[in-house]
Amino acid sequence: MKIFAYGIRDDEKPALEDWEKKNPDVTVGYTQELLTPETAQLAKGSDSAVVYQQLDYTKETLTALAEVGVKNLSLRNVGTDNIDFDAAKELGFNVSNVPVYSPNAIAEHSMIQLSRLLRRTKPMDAKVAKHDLRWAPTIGREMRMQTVGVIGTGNIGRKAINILKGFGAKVIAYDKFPNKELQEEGLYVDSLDDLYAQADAISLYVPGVPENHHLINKDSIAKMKDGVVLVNVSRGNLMDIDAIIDGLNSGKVSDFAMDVYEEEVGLFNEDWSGKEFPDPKIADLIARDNVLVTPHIAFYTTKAVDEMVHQSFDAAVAFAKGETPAIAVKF
Amino acid sequence: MKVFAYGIRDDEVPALKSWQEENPTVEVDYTNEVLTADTVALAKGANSVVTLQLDPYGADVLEGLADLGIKNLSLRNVGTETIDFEAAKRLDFNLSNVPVYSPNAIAEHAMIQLSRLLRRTKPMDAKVAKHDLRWAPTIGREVRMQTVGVIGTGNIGRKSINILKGFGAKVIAYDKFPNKEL
Repeated sequence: MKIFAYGIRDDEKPALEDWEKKNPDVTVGYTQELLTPETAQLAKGSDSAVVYQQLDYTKETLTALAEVGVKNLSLRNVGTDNIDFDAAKELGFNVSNVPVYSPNAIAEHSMIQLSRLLRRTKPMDAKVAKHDLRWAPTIGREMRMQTVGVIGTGNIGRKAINILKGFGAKVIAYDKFPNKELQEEGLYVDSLDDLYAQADAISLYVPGVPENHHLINKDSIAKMKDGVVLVNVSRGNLMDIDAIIDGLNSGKVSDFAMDVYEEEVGLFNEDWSGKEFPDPKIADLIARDNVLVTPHIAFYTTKAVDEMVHQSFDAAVAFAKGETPAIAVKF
Repeated sequence: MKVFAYGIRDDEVPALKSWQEENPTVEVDYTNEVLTADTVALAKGANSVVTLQLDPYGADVLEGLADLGIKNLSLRNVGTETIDFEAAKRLDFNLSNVPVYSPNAIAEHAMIQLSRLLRRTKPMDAKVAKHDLRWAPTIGREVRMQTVGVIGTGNIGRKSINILKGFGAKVIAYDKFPNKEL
């Protein structure tokens, strides 16, 4: 059995080597190049291809792969929006993704960013970097003293709640579909309006489905406490960035951390250093002392990468054997 | 009753105002200057003085206070090394410090810094600041995946352990005087 992997990064190699050791009867070939109609031929002789890229899996690409005898495509990530599923169906492809890499990675990132905003680490680090070692007036706020509103209590939201409990913060939660255990603990509020009224800080853990579009907007921000701290590591379209910027300018929003942005495709994961930065709103946010911007990295931990590699390669093996792995995508 | 406070910073004023609200019968006056032989006179008329400073509380300063009839000195911090205790005893001073401000503050800072190091926020932030928005290769490590050794399980160490448990890290601890629950 042979598997060929595309887009392999250096940080994936430890996990890859580990998987190979555990699966000695499988031959693994790989390249750092992405899967395109041209590179599809590199997979010739393999049973399955394992991939990870933002580049589209077009009809042309899938056809080229099918032509070298490969119709098993295992994605190492969760997003499947860039697959031409009509073509995949037509060509008889099996597709899998990895829906859950590590809820902890994302929950940890959101809570670390929250605690950093409260602690004012950005201005403090800047002072230290230029050798101003005075502590005043860069005073912090304790996580323990906050009421933190968690919107969305799925896998990731629940991990975030555990972290908050560890800090001793007061937790209030909202979810359309409440979790039984959290319900018994009495953590839920009855409505988002209640959450907005009570929370000193709010973090989102809900999907970017149409009904959640611009959940955080001018009206919802107006319902929040003065000086609210906002964190979004979920999906860019959950927030109206203009409303956030207005809130920061007026002081209604005291601090903000974002790992996602509605217009992030084509902006994030590029090196703009020394070049004209194409998005003035984001450039403005990056420069502010009370804002932390990260380019969709909440997932990016050694554990998550390990899971992405292991689960996708296991799925690739299952497809090669004619089996249907649990993480196969139905389409 | 009157209390006079030295070295009051802007960030202390909200707490001071809130204390005054809770203690309406006490007259409170303050300055942002620290207590020295030159500023002792500002405390005239007070029963007690409250301070926070690196400047030492030498015999001259304590004598100055005692001359005004003030023998109560309350420090807002824990460190008392700069007090001339021999003079304080001689002049019959009452002294207080604040041994525990907030174990949580210190535990949180330690754990936030630990998680930031694991997450490699310093290089990531530097990249973002110069508009390099690529995530690779600045990969992080989860707090959850670590075995964290906590040396010292007093007030602050125990708060740190709670924070680590919240993250799901494995905790191992050492203390000459172990805590029964741990």
